[in-house]
Amino acid sequence: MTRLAVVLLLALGACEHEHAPILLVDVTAQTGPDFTTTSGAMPPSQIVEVNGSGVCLFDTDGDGDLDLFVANGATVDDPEHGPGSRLFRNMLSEDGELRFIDMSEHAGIDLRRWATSATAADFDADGDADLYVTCIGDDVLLSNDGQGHFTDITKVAGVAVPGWSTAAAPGDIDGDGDLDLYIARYIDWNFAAPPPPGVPFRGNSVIAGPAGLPPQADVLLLNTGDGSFVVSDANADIPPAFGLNAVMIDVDGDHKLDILVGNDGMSNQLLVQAEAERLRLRDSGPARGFATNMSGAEQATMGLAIGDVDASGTPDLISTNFSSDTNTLLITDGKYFVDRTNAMGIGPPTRSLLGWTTRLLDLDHDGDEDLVTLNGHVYPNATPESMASAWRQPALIQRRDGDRFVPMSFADGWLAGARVDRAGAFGDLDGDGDLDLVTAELNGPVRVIENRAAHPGRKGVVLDFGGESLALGAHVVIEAGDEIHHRWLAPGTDFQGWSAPQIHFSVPREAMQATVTVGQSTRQVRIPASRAVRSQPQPVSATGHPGS
Amino acid sequence: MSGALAGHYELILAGQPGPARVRLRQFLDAEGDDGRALFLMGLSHHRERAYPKAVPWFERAMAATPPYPPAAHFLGWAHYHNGNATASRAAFEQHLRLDPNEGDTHFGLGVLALERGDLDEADARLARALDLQRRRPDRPLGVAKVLARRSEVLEQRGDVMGAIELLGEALAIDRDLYEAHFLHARLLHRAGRVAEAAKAEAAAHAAQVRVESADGRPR
Repeated sequence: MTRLAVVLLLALGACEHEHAPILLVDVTAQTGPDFTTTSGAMPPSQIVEVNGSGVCLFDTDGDGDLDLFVANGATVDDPEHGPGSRLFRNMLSEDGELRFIDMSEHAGIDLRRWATSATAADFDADGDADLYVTCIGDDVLLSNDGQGHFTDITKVAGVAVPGWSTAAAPGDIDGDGDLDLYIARYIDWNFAAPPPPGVPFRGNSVIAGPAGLPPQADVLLLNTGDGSFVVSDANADIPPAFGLNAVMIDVDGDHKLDILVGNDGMSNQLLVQAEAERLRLRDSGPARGFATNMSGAEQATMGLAIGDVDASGTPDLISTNFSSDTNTLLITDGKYFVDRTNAMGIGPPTRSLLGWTTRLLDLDHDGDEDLVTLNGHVYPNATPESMASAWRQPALIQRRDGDRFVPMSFADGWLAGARVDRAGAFGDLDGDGDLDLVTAELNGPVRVIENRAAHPGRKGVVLDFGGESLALGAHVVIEAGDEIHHRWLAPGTDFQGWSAPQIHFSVPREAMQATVTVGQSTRQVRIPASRAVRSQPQPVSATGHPGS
Repeated sequence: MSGALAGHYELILAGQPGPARVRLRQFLDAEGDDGRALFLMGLSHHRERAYPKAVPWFERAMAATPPYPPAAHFLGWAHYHNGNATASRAAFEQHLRLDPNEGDTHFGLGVLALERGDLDEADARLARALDLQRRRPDRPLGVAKVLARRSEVLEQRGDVMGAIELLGEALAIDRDLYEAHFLHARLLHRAGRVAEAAKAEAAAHAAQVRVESADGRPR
């Protein structure tokens, strides 16, 4: 059963391809949730406390709107018994009013272990999205009954991956028709014996790690198809690293999923399937230019953004990194990556920032993708005077303008505020044809950020792949009129965030139909002419004709 | 650095910026704003990569009577590391007005131009830097750095083979430029020279271990 929801934003005038104002508004006070995350103490004194909690957007109960799971942390003195992860149900009203209600107990969510992120996908192929929660401690798999009630099936599924997991990337890596999982892991951490603080950094005394601490090897879990997973040795040749991010997409167009792993202070990895006869992963990052930036520097990759920056139809990548370094743009021809960080203006505005979640999306509905990045330092004693970077930092919007990304400044509101942001997840929360945002500040509030973009000559479209877990990682090509947009269905690239499995693009207001190619299958999608205040998913037949 | 401040300078080079600062403060208290002493205060922070703390000292060194011109060069790098490209460029240009033949400062302006994506300016600055550094027998490492960064200009212009050649020259001069080794490996892969690329990768990792061990950085 495939499902493709089409939502759109009403166009009000005719001013094609000009920028519309970027309007991202914090509406948490009106919508909830009223929730503060826990990730150790504030200010942090150990590296285990600095990464924050995770956020995950998915439809728990099949009502067509996006609910919110917060993978919450705990404290170093009792990492197994924190305040608990929470599930907030989206009570979107008929007239578009957004409201999140805590339904954790009702949903059977009772997870108090230190959680770091959550991945929502249909692991048991029963038609609803389950939750894989990465933890410091054994990971947890929660099975969804389709009504939004969850059961812990970790033991029977065999997924109690130990250690400090940071990200779980789903995809059918072995091509057998079910979802496998690549688990990125970080530091071999021992709560009972943390490293002493007081490491020198630029004349300051700072928290220890990750350098000097032991990295952990990642874990590949293969789905057996009977509700359980087995640990694969296909990545046995990949050395341990400080993994913070992982995503499965087909980078080189060979119709096999590859795995991109973002590592902290070590080379990033591009794991490709090295052998035809059996599943064997080899790191081709150094050979293809994915491992380091142009200068050969191993960076501290936190978040990854994927998009077709150079309009070549291949997946280009942007990584967020540490302060006094730049975020990095790698353009690929499908085989090799070349660093175009500076040529396209990505680098200089990011030197004073320490970036986490990042995503390419068409914020101003002008047809190309802009870049949003959440920022905040790991060292509470960071100041512009001490480390050329502040503890609290604003989000950065870099608007695509021709062949450059241009940093934007804002006088007030959420976009101007300085915070210690970490995780973020994107999705069309209010069904108005653009992507909104949920963020988790370190030991701070979860925030709902509404996108109020409105272009006078164009309309936004959101395609929802919530019922198509096997499409995860797919290359999605949208042809509408004379415009072609390339996207990749990669919801988990946000740092410790799982975005809704949605694809967003904008088209001229007169466009009424699009041809959408997902992987190797093509379908036609009707684009409504007027604003859908509250859209319901539109089923689409396998042959691609609109079902409504 | 000679005279009364030579010992202070040696302390900084020996990795003891704290004791150096104590002595420099005593010197400044006794002698007033001396451009060289103010510069050394900035340098003590600069060597610790505490660039925000270095900036005001370099600025004071340039405001002193007489100013100490090398402070403008270091001010350029401190601003660069602080992410302030405009101030960095201004400081480097100020230094060139005082010392137009300082290759390291042309190099700094070349790096800034690379970051702006201005390949023509970067190429011109780095070419000038290379010419000046080659005239100085005491600057082989300066030559290597320029060659490595100029390879980025060639790569961005599509001249992969030219970039490989420049990196080879750079690494023949300074085998510890591990970032250049990594870039060399990447470009050799692109050129299909797989065996050489593997060697370059191994050399990169070995150089990285050497440099980070010498730097006291854990890995």
